[in-house]
Amino acid sequence: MKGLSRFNPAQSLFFRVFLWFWLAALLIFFSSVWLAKQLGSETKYQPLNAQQQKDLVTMTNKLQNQIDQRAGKVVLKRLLNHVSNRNRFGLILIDLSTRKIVQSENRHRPFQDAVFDDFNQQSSPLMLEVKGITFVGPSMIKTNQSEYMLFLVKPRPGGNLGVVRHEYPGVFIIFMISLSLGLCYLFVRGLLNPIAQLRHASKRMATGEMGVRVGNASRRLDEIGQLGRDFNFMSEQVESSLNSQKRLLADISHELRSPLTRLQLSIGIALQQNESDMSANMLAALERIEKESQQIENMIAQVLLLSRLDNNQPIQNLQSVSLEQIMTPIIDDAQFEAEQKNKELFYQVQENISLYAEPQLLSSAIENILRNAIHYSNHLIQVSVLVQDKHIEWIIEDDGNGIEESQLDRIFEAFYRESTARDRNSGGVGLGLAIAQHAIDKHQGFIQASNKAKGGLLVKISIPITRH
Amino acid sequence: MSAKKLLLIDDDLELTELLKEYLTPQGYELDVANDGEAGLSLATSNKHYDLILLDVMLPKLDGFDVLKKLRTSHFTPVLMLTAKGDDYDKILGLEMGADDYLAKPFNHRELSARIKALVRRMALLPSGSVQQNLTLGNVELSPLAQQVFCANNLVELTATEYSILHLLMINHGSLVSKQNISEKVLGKKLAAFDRSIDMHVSNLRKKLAAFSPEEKIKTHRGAGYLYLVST
Repeated sequence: MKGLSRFNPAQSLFFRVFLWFWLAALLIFFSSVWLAKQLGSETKYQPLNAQQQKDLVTMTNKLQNQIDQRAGKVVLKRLLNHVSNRNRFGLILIDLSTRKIVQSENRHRPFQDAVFDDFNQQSSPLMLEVKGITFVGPSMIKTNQSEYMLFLVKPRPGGNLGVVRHEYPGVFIIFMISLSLGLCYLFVRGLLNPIAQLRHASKRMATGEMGVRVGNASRRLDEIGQLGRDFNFMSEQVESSLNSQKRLLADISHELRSPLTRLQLSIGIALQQNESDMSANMLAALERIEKESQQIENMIAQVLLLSRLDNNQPIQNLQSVSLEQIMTPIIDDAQFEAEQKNKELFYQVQENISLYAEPQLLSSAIENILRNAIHYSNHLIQVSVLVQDKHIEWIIEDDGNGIEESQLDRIFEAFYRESTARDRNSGGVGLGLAIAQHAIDKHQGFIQASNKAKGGLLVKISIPITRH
Repeated sequence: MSAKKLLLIDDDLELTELLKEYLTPQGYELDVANDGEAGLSLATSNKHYDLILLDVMLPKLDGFDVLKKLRTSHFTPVLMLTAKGDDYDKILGLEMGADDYLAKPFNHRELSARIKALVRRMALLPSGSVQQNLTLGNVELSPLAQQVFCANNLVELTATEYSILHLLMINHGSLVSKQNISEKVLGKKLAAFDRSIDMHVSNLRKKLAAFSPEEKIKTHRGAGYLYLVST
């Protein structure tokens, strides 16, 4: 059904424009045919001109001679063909008594017998035009058996469309329909293809792809071309402002490192004072300051890691590492953390395999997801590792409240925070999941969050096992 | 024991002031240089330093160049101060013979723990074994002179390489875990997938192999290292 819907003119500009143009083309075609018919259907009579008169006499004499020579013993049809072939005229004989028609073959277009109904032996020769066919006659021919009226027919001009039109109207109509169909298709396609390109490009841009440009559409000289160029310009602008935003973030983090180092040292110097000289409040405040500066340090580290992951360069330090090597420290830490919070963590793995990965990045991705799961679970956290054919999958589930369906994709955005629940005490800045996603992207894998039917969040990480 | 002497090479004047203020009460004597050239000339002067704190980003001569030039003649322990987020720096530093690295911004406790580990490594080894010369096969280690001879040639080792070799030789024939090496020699817990111990051991192997090709240190993948008992 979905495939058919693109042919629905209500949903597709392509087919709407196409149908309109086609209908218009067909209408013009049929009305002109109808008009031509109206004008051409009347039979026209004209007196013979000198040439026609001469032709008629010559042909009559030739034919009569032939008949006379053979003393009437002729097959009329054969004789007509014979004479017709030699003289570039189609010949038609009409038996005056029976009105039977004998004619030479293939030299003229078909016509209706009724054309000749008005003629008899008294009729004087005329030129008569019926539906584009010109007849000249009659003149009288006698054989032993009967008397005939002779008409000459102009030989048909070769290869004219008009011939097909008159001889095979069905074929002609089908030909015209398909010709107009093809032309309309080409026209509409030429018009709408660039729009499809634009649509495709803006869709890609909407998914966050960088460097999207419309190609051909922007080279056109018409309005669509202008639209394409404007799109490209917009894309450039968006890209450069996004980049400068990212660069700004990274630069600020860079620059923050020096004062932060000094701040941390100053705290150290302050703490070196004899502790008894300090009030308990002072000490608590200093420890608080130290904790907060540690927090800032973590944030800076995360921002820098994210900006490093956000470039298009492939990761260095890819190495073969066993699943166990990666998972053991993560699970040990997570078990410890879960116990501290009175939560339970279950871990199951099918088999220990060897991966090709950047272990630190992969670990931090899994760890960030798992931390999140522990933080938001009520009681249970489940981690399972599935080894598929070519992929390895981590499924990390919790029994918390899950995430609003509309927000599922957004949780991987940098600095995303669920509007209500999250607090800074979780230790993060909303960068953990973004880092996880970038890290998994770098491994050509994907990361996906969904709500479980029974409640809780399920995050799936998948990366290819083979070398890439 | 006299005060340990540190050389600090960093161009951040405020930071060097603070470091001086922070480390002096802990019993260190600090000399400060604010650019690479001054730092290098102090480090290679007659003064003995127990540890050099070396920043990577320096005017005139950057930290790596200082390290490279220093290592042609001196094996003073060097703690590189790298910038956080530049993983490449720390790997390069270790390859060029730095003993350890610390990413800025650093926690003051972390800093003093690392400094302590690097200047007092002798105390970290079992006390009984400290004074005795150790000889295993054609490798001879003299703790008093902190020198190592391989096939009667002097092997020039950095302080960290020396300490790792010392630790492995004392425990020869048994596996020494990377965690253990990291804690004893560098005074820090081994972070997951930290390759710094591997790099020190690989440098050490290369230096020993220059005089004697047979394998002396065996790797147990993911676990640690073992000094082979020569037959």
